[in-house]
Amino acid sequence: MSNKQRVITDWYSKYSSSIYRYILMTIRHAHHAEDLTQETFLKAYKYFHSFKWEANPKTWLFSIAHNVTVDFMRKKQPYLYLMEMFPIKAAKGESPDEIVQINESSNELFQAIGRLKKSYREIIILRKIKEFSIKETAEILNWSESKVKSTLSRAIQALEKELLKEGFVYENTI
Amino acid sequence: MKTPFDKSLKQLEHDISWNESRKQQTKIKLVEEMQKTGRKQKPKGQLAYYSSIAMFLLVASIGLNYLLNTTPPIDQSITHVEKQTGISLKEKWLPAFIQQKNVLETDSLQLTKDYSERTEETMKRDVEVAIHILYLQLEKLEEGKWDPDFDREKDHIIFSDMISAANQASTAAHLLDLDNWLYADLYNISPLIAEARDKKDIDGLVLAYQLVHDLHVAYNGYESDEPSYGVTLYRDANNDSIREYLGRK
Repeated sequence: MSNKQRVITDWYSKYSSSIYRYILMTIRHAHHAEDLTQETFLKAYKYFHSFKWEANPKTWLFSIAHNVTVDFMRKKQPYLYLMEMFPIKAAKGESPDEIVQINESSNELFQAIGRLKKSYREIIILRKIKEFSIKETAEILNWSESKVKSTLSRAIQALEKELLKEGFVYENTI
Repeated sequence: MKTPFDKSLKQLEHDISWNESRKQQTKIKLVEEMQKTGRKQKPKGQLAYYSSIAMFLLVASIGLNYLLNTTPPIDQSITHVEKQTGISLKEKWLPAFIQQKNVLETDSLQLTKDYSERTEETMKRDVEVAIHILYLQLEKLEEGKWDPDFDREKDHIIFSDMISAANQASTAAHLLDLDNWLYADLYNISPLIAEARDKKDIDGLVLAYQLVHDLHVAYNGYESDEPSYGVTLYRDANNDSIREYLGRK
């Protein structure tokens, strides 16, 4: 195994679960999320020379994961429309439960985030769930910091509405 | 200030768990893909590789020729440097020499590279070899021969090498269904090194050394002059200091 491969497998051990969850929450498909997680690390391997060592590998990997997810969603738009109707389906007879477990208490929140538009979904995942800073989030999404702030505020309101529609009330939502 | 809603969102991160065996399968596929990509890239680079060697030889021969014609005899230059700096040439260059040697000693100790060639025998050997390799590298730290710079790429590669070796050993131990305590100890090496690296903390690396040392003695039968550090589950049924370092206590 080359040095480059070792670094990537090390990063895989450290960040793959977090990246998998990010992709899963974004595309809501357990099996494809696995494929895209693999693709993220494979892209990191291919473009390893462009990584700056003073940078944080986690932020770099998440920006790759974001791009991989955007590409996937563009290509699979009609298919994703069907998936919206049948969320969290796994392919080829595999049960999603065999791939991923979601705690019952968080399931409603997970589903509500999944119903938001993609930019809202991503900003909530990165800022509120992954707890990236505004600067890091801007870097991952290739947005300005002011766009991150304003979109987050709208995204939280949209999420609150989604939850209320389903009859869930969270204290001090915003 | 965090609201209860923020906490609920944050909790979502912990409430989604990717099946560990699926994660490992994806890792295996990733390694296979990286190896394929590496093989595909080789022919492309061959011309550049041979050209660069030819260029290097040309430049080296010109440089050598120049040096032979211009530099004084070696003894004369050594005395000159020592007189100027007040320290011996050996002392002056020793740290650089150690840095050059600052790589994992894997010449005679090789882990299985290709996952598809993995058998019960190779996995058993991987456990022994990984412990041995890790011991050799961390022993350098203990003996002052390795002074890691946490911001240097070269040292990051050494950390990655160690983490990779530890992961390979723990995966092998898991697949071979070896002693649970041994598996737990092997499993802990990787986060221990990663935590020490991220915190830029030598003490964490020393703790990793102690763990690996005790495993090298207990599992590989290494005869050490040092006493046991008492930090393994496999040998001592006690890994409190490790758990504490990893924030699990």
